[in-house]
Amino acid sequence: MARTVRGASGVPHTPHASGLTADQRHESPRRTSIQAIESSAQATQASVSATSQTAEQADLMIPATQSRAFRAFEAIPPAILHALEQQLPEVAWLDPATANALRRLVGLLALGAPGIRAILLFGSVARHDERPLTDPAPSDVDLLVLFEPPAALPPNVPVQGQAGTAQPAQPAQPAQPESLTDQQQAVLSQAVVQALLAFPDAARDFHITGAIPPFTRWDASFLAHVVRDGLLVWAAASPPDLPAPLDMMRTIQADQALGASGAGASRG
Amino acid sequence: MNEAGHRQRALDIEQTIADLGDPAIKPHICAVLIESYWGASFHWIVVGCMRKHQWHTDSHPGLTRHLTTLGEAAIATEWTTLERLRTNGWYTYQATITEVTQARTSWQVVRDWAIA
Repeated sequence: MARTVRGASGVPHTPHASGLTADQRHESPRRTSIQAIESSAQATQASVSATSQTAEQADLMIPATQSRAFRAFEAIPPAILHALEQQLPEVAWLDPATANALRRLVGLLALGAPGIRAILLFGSVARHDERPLTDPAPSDVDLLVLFEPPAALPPNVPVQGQAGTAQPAQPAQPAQPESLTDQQQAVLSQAVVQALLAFPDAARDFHITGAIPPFTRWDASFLAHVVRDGLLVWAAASPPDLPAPLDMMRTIQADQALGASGAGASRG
Repeated sequence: MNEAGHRQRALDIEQTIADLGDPAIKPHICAVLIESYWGASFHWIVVGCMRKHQWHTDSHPGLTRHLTTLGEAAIATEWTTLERLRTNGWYTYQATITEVTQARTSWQVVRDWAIA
C-alpha cells in the first residue's frame, strides 16, 4: 500500500577577406576548436585517469567497459519492480503521470543501481510550493541520490606491476574524490529516460543530483535546504520502517561534520 | 533560429572551449567548460533533431522528454547527464576535471550523432 508523504550545413555565403570559401570558413574554426579540445583532453588525461581509476576500482559491480551500454534495468523482474513501486511513498500533490514516473525512477535505481544508500526528494516539489503545470516553466522534480562512499584501499597494499610482480608498498590512498563515476552518471541518466519512456505523459522534468559523502565540496546552503525540506523516498537500509526523513538528514549532517573534521569517513 | 544558426552557435562555443584552455592548469574554468559543453551540445541536439526528425526547439526545458518521444533515448541519456553536470557544477561545486571529462564525452556522443 502506497504511503502518502505529507507536510514536509548551411553557412551564409558572404564575401570574406580571408579568401576562404564559405565551407572552409565554416570548417576551419571547427577543426581548430576540436583539435584544441582534443589536445586539452590529452593534456589532462593523466590527472583524470588518476581519479577515475580509483573510483572505478571501488565500483566493481559495473564493469568499466560497459559504462555507456549499461543495461542493469533490463534484469529487473517487472513483478518485483511493481511491488517495490507500490511500497514507495506517494507524493500526493504531483499529477498522476509524474507521480508514476517518479516511482518508476526510484524503483529502477533502488533495484538496478548498485551502491545507492538513499534517494531523497528536495526542492520546490518537496516543499509543495512548486510552480504549477499551468506555469510556462513548471517546477522540476529534484532528487538527491546518495551513493555509498567508495571503499578506500587499506594502507600499504602491494600493487601488482605490469609483469605481475608486486611493486614496493604504496602510501595510503588519498581520500576518494566525491565525483560520480561514469557508470554512476550513466545509470542515473538512464533511469530518468526509462521512467519517461514508461510514462511519457509525465508533465514535469526530473533532475537528479548524485552525491557521495562526506560532501566536503558541497555548498553548505544547498545541504541546509535539503536538511530542511528533503523527503526520504527510499533507503537501502531495511529496518521495519523507512527511517524518518530527519534521521537521514541527521546522517547527512553527520557526514558533513565528519568530512569537515578531516575524518573522511561516513556512517554506513 | 535555423539549422545553420544552431550549427554556428555550437561551433562558436567549441571555439570558446578551445580558447579557455586546459582545466588541469586552470581549475577555475571547470564550471564554465561544463556549461560550454552543455551549450554546444544543446545546439548540436537541435541540429540533429532538425536533420533527422524535422523537429525544432529553441529552449531546453522538457528536452529529455522530447528526445525520448522522438525515439532518441541514447541522446536523451547524454543530455540528462549534461544537465546534471551543469547544475551540479554551478550549485554544488561539483566541477572538477572528472566532471569536465564526463561533459566532454557526452558532448562528443551528441555531436557525432548530430552530424552523422
